[in-house]
Amino acid sequence: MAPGLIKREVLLPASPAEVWDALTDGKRVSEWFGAEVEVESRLGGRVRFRWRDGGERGAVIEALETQRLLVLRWLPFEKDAEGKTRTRPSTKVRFTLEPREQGTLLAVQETLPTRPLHGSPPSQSVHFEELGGAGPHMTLGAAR
Amino acid sequence: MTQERVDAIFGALSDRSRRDVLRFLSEDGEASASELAERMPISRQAIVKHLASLAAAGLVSGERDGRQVRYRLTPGPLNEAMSWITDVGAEWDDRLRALERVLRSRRR
Repeated sequence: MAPGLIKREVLLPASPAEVWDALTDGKRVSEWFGAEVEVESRLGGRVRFRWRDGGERGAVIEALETQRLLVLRWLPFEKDAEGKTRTRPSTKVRFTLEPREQGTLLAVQETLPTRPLHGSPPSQSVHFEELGGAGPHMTLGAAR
Repeated sequence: MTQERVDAIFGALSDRSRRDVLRFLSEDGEASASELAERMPISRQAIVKHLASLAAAGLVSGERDGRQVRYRLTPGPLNEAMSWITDVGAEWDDRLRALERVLRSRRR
C-alpha cells in the first residue's frame, strides 16, 4: 500500500510549541477534534476519544518528538453510539510539525496498516515493549 | 467499513500484478486467466492465484464458460474503499479547519 493514503497540510498561525500543545493536551485537542479527548502524552500512552453521540475509540502513541512528530495508532475496534463494539481499520496517523516564518506547517497523514493478504492472524495484544524501538512495526490485534 | 473489509480490499490492492489484473478487466470488461497471461509478464498459474485473492476480497467474480472461467470486476468493494478514503479525508479537512480557527482565536 502506498504510504500516505490520506494526506493534508495546513499552515497554522501559531508557533510549533502552541501547535504541539493543541495536539497533545487533551483539553486543547477537545477544542478542535470533535470529541472529548484524553491524552497520556508519552510514548506508548493511550489516547481516548469520546464522541458526542456516545461512541468511543482509543489510540496509542507510537512515536513522539516534542514539537516535531506525533504518531498515533487507532485501536482496531470502537464502541459505537449504541454501545456495540465493532472492528475498525487500525490506521496510523502521523502529525509532523515544521516551523515557518508565518507559523507552523502541520502535515497529517493517515495510512492503513500494511498486512499481507494471506498472512498469519494478527496477535491479540498490544506489545508496548516494542514501542521503544521499531515503533512503526507494532502490530495491534483485532478484537475477534 | 470494518477492519476485515479494509484488510481484504486494500490487501488485494497492495500488489502490483493484482492491480494490473483489475486494470485489464476494467478495460476489457471480462477475461479468462489465459487471456490475462498473454498480456502480463507472469505465468497463468500466478494469475489464477491473484484472481482467487481478488475474488476472496470481492473485487472480481468468475463465471464458468465451457472449459474456462471468465472474470469480471465487481465494483461494489472498490467504491466502498473509495468512499472510505473520501470520508476520512473530509474528517481531517473539518478538524484542521477547526484547529486553525482555535489557534487564530487564541492569537487575539
